[in-house]
Amino acid sequence: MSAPHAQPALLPVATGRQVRDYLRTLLRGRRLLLAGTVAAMAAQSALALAGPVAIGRATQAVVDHRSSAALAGPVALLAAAALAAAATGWAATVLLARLVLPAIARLREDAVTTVVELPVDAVEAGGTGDLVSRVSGDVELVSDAASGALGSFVGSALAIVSALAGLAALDWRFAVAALPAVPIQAGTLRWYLRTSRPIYAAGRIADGRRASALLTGFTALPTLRALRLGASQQQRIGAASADSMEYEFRATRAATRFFGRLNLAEFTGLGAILLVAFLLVRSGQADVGAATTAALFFAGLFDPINALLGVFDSMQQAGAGLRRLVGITTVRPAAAPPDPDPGPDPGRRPPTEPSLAADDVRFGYGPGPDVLHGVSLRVEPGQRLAVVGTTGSGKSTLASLLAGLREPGAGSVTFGGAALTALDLPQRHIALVTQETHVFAGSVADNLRLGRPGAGDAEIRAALAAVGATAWVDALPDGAGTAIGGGGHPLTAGQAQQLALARVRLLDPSVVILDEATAEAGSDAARALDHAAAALVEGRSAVVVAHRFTQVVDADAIVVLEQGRVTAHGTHDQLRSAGGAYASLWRAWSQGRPADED
Amino acid sequence: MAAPVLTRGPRRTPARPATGPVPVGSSRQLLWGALRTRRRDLLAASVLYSTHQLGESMVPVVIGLTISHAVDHGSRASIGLWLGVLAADFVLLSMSYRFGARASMRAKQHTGHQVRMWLTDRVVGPAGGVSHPPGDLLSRASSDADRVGAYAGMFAIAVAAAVVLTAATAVLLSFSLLLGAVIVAGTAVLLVAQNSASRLLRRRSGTEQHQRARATTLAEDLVRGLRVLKGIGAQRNAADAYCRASRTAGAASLHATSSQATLASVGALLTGLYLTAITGLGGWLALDGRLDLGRLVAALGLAQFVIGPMRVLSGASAAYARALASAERVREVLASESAVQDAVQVQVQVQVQDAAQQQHTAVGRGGKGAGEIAFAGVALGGAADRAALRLEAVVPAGTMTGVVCGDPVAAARIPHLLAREHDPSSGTVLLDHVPIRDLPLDDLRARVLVSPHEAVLLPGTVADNLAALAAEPAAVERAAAAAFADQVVEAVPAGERTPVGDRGEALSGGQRQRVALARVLAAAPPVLVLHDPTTAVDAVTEAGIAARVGRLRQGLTTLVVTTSPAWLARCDQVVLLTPGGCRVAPHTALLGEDAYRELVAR
Ligand SMILES: Nc1ncnc2c1ncn2[C@@H]1O[C@H](COP(=O)(O)OP(=O)(O)OP(=O)(O)O)[C@@H](O)[C@H]1O
Ligand SMILES: [Mg+2]
Repeated sequence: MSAPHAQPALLPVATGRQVRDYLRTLLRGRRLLLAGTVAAMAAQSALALAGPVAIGRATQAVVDHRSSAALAGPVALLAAAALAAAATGWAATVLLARLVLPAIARLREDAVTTVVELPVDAVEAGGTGDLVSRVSGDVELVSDAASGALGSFVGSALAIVSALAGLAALDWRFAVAALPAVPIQAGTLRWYLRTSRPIYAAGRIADGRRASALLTGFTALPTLRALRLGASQQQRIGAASADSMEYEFRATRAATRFFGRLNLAEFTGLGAILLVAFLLVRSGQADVGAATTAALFFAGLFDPINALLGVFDSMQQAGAGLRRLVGITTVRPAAAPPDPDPGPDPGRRPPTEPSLAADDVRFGYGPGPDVLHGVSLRVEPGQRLAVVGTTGSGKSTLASLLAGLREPGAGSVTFGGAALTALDLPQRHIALVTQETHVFAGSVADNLRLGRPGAGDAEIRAALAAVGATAWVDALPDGAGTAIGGGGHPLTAGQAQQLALARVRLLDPSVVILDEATAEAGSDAARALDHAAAALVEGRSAVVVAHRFTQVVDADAIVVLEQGRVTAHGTHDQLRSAGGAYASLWRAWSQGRPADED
Repeated sequence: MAAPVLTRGPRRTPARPATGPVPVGSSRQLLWGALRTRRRDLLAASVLYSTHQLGESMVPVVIGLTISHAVDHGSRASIGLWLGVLAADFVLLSMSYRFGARASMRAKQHTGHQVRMWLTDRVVGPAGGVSHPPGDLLSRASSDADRVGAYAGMFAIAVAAAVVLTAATAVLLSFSLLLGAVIVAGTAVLLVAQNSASRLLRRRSGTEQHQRARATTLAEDLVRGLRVLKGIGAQRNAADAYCRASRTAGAASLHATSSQATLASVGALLTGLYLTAITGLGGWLALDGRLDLGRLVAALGLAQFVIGPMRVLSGASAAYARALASAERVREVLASESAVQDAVQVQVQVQVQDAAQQQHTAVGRGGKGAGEIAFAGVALGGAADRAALRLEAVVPAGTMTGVVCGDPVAAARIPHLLAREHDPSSGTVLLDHVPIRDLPLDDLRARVLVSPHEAVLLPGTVADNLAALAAEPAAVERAAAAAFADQVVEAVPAGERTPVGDRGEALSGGQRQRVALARVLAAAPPVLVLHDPTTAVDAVTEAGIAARVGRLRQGLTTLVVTTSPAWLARCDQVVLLTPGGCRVAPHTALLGEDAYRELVAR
């Protein structure tokens, strides 16, 4: 039952109280709709009572040997009830959907809106599957269970209430006789709630693992095919799916035991009534008619009682999903509280270009050791700073700190003297092109518009032209309208990097940070990509992380990062003649590249 | 059912027994084919649920008998006996429900699981050709597969309802032919009316699932691209786009629910009217003296009783409509055309007609060649101007050969063709003189191992990834050293037991690339194809890797598609591919040419 690998740190799960608080705010302003839904449900259930009444009257008419005209009344009542039941039933379902579906949509939107503001590492730690399964699988579960629960709650409650109205007609001793059923029912419910809660909770986590296994497979298809790992991934998916099934089976076993014990309660109550009836009739204290009424009355009551208790099962299921969904919304990030306003005018550049500085920055991932040990640097307005270092030395980490994606563990990153994390949407002025590229599912234009949703076609074309992507974009089947990303037209790594540069171009930030943004320039595209990067950097402050020295040699300043420490800084010529790490990197790079330089 | 049989790598799938061909002819075939795999559970659940219904309907009967035989001045023994009968009935109804519900749940879950397995088998299978975004596929493999399962879970309840309905009809027919006929007609009208109403539900349910999948796709895309989004501060825009999709999906769900409501009210209306008809007709018959009072009461009681089963059948038809809509979405994926034909299938199909070719294939398979790759006029271009790029070269067995190509799109195509992600529009790739199209995919990929440039790591630890393709620790260690992945192990906090994250995102870019390289090196395939394997690695490390890989691959064939001089300098020969043609020469010789220097100098 255990996952094959170290358990990922999943996103949090809410407490019952948090869920209730959330639901309260969600229902605010929807009470009228809720009342309407309940009214429609009650009406629908009440109409079901018309059947027995009309049939009773029709029978009476037959008993009394009245004319067939006497049947008209009951028949008309039945027909009217049928029409009204159809109408109220329709209304109840639709109103319920209007109540539940938008609320649940709001919930998943809140969840996603919160997630994007969380630190990347917190989100990545749980894996994509965790979040995605919450906003898809859990949402479905909650809306199904919530709809079912509310419907059967109202229906069975009404049935119980109307049945209890007939209680007055009964001999009180029969009612007392049925009481032994109550402690069994209460005990069963308590037992069940205790048993099923952890099963449902673990079942949801298993569902998340299944989603992870599926997504792992679906996002690695070429790799799986090429390395013949498809079959083993299929097995992992099969195992995860079987694992999540196992929880469903456990839940069913518990639920059927629950209903089995309720059956026992029914039998106990019914048996006691019959036994009491036997004794009372024997001793002449009650007549057979009263006994019959009482026994049938209680037999009819047990069904709605079971249904009512079954509502707790649906609620339990919905609760397991809700906790996971609401759980996400409870982790409001400390910095940059999500602000529904669009904020200050986008693209606004500060009047004086401030400088970006890191001061004695330390940082480690999660509980792991520090990977940056007191890094200080400064990028003056308009300056281009290059960062070089061997692989794994901490360059990308530094870049993400400078862009405000991560917060330093100690020390500070400041922009114009203010701590980056205190600034509202620092990204307005600082854009980072990450080492990892991602092409979003959508058109080429959609991909560029992510940064600036309002950008016009002309601006899109200009941005594409600026990064030298016009030729290949035009050659795509639908030009800039071609679907790319998952399932769309495949792009080369270099093309993906060009789009990443074009996105930033469209944003027009005052500081750009390029993390290996031209690493994929392995050919003709190299020139285009280098030009694109150069054009992007022109007139802005820039931090360029690069293994390719074409991006480094003419930088205004260069820092060398080794194992999380700045070990040297200066210009290309200074560093080259100083020897050390920079000189050996440079030597390795320029070997075999005789055409340029030297 | 002439569906293409799904093929898996025969060697790596010992675990699951074959379930026969997947029925992909139509959504109905798929749905019923999936249900058929759980025949036993469905049968058991149907029998048990029917028994449960019987037990439930016996409760009032037993109560009546107890009262008349025991309560009404019976003996102590008689009350004991009748309470015993009541207990037996409760045991029957309780146990039949318990095991019926469990069998039904098994049917439901396993049917969903089966559909999911069919789908994923097709998606991750070797032949490729499925092009849907991951989130969309996830939605089909979860939500849609589960909806097909949900129908299986509903099936036994519907069968039990049908049994009850049939029994009630029989009893009613024995009272009065006319009343029985009303039940039969009522049921028929109900089913027909529901059937036409359910067509709308089916369509809307399809739309609902489509919109939900779109929202899921966006969510998945957004999380996977979160670094990129946050880098440019676009996370809110992306979240807004998700919210829009979520609202569209919500509206589509509302739509589907309202047609489900219509379907249900049609059912409610018809059952109500049917009760009206029976009451009117029965009363009239009784007044007319053609039906005695006892039978009238019984008939009306029965008529009320069968409304429950009728509603169940009506609900089942809604579940059926939804299941069909989802089955269609699964079928779309199953029926998507393979990107390449697997020679295994071809062999079966052309067994008789083309014996000559078969023999050819057999030779190619049998003779474990040395690993020579030949490109015979292989077209690398898609666009018109690139059609001029034709690869015409031989990679001798046991050499390390570089391929330099100015056009990155064409260059990327070379590893793709060798991995048979797709086949060239013209020309042939040969492995030891056998066209690779004629080799079974699994054989080919075992002998020619292509490490895609975008190779992703799989969840697990660094060690899991290093040893993904090779079991032997010594081979893994050698490969790790050659790819400088041993340094990765030293650099990360928990050594080789460090988890790499979902797709390797807990490693640095260069660390990720080195682990991916070590992974394929460890397999020590006869032919290894690399595509720009060290773009995220610094120049010093890159030079070290190229040298060590060259040494490790001594005597084996290695093809490196790259423009990096560090690799090219280690190659025995380099193929320079230009629109003008192919040149094959050592790196040092080619360095004299401007065109080549231009390409490799950056
Ligand atoms: N998300 C993460 N979680 C945990 N550890 C990480 C994460 N990202 C990077 N690391 C670790 O931090 C160290 C520095 O990584 P970083 O990505 O900053 O290196 P880099 O200099 O950019 O390397 P490269 O040139 O290979 O891209 C590495 O040892 C790496 O394993
Ligand atoms: Mg990096």
